Amino acid sequence: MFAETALNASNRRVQRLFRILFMLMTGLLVLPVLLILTMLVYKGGSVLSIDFLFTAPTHGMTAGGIFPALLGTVWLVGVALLVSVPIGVAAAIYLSEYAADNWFTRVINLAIINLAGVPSIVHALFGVGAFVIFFGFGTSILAASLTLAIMTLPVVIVATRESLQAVPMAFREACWNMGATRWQTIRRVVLPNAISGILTGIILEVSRTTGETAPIMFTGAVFFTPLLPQSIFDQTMALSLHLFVVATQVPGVPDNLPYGVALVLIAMVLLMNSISIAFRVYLRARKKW
Amino acid sequence: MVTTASTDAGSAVNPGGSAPADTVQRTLEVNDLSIHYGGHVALSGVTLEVRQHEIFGVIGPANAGKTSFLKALNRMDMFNPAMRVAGDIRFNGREIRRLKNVYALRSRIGVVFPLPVGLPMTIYNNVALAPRLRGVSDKAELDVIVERCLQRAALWDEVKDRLNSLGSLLSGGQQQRLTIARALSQNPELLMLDEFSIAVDPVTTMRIEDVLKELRKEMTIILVTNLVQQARRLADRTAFFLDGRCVEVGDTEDLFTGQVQDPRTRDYLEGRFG
Repeated sequence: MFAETALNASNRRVQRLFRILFMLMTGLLVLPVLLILTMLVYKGGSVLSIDFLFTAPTHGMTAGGIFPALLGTVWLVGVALLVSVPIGVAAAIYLSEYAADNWFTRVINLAIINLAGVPSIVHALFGVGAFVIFFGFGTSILAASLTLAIMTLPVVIVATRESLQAVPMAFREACWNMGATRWQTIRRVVLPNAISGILTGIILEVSRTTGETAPIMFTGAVFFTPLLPQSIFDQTMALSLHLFVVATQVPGVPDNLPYGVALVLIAMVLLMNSISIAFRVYLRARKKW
Repeated sequence: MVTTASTDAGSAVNPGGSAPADTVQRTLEVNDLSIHYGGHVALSGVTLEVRQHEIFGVIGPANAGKTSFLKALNRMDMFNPAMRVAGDIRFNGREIRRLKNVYALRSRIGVVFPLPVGLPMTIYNNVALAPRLRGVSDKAELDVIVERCLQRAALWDEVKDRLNSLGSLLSGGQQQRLTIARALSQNPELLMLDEFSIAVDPVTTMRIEDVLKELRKEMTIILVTNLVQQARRLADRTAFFLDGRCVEVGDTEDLFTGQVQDPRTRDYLEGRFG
């Protein structure tokens, strides 16, 4: 009765084949990440030190550390977040909780999707035109961060809207039925249950913003400045642009220096992503339905 | 709008529902109510009244328009752009479709859904939510409300030691009693139950039915149910809905003893279709 027929056997072989195929593809995915990390650590690990992180470049950027660039990236990302998170979260709440499903909302959604697809160099040129020239911010952290903020807004909006919509409709209806207003429902039921997804989206935005080069190189980030930024109207160095500069633009840079910069940059991104993942795991463990 | 004399008359439990019409206090008066979803007619031409402190049963097969009826009563059509409601609904004499403060209306109407909706928060917070929404923030006061509501929903003894654990960890029957406690925390004048026993075991169902009999002394109850015997056990008067129409409304005992105006009612009650 349980003897294997030819059909059973071939089904089993095919099933094994596909399992191995899919596994190989997954392996292929992990391979580049491992290779990049290994190469960076191998070639750039030697320059890493506390001094490297906390001193300025010297000798025409062929020696010294990366502190102005590191600090500049923190400024750029921080200011960009201050702009994009409130706008993005508010817009997502409106789209998910208030907006009726009509042509206007659909146009907005289309605009968001298209905004996400605009190449970063186009954002950069828009930033130059709008913030540097039209609003007269000059090349400054403000102009660069605003450009970054506009570029990452779709990420925040989409992530927030999706985590809001993951909250079951029945919860909202139960709350409305009690006489709660839309805002009371959002504040007491929807947001507390969507917050993990929203934060994840924000952290992903951070890690994406950290690595962007094109949008900042015409709007606020500079080749080299010995000065640390004092306000949002200053220019600043940035890690991503610094990497581009030491890797391609400056003669006589020791081989391991660009790798070291890249390692710091990627470590920052990975750190953000790990925090995001850990956070999600933590919140999911506390998930209440 | 409520005179003292008529309040007394209305609050007397009135199982037969046979009091003279002019002394009866009506919680709801529905006149020519129709509900459409786009081109689909869910309910049409429903006219009935629900009297104070009665259990008003609504029976009928699926798609009869029972749930849409409940939704119209607390203006949930506002959240569904496809849902169109026409006709006249008076709650305590006020036309609810002209009411600006729909929040006050909804807070006076407690709703229990077919599947228990335990909000993703602790048992305590589930029951304290409605009082908090209306501005009660004093912990001692909330404690009293939570205990009283859980007790009236026959759940207190089972959860009093774990009020701070999640409502969604309770069993299905317990969660349904939690949603009843939550509805009671609104201090409702009208409690609407939509097939509350679908996901509840028979023992819990009987416990909830006992609770409802007690609650009738304090509030009006609309009981939508698929179980005709449940309507017979609980309802003072019963409406039979079929295909978006209210076939008839009558004293429950009359309907079940064959004194019907429409033969379809008898057929349904005897299980010949539906």
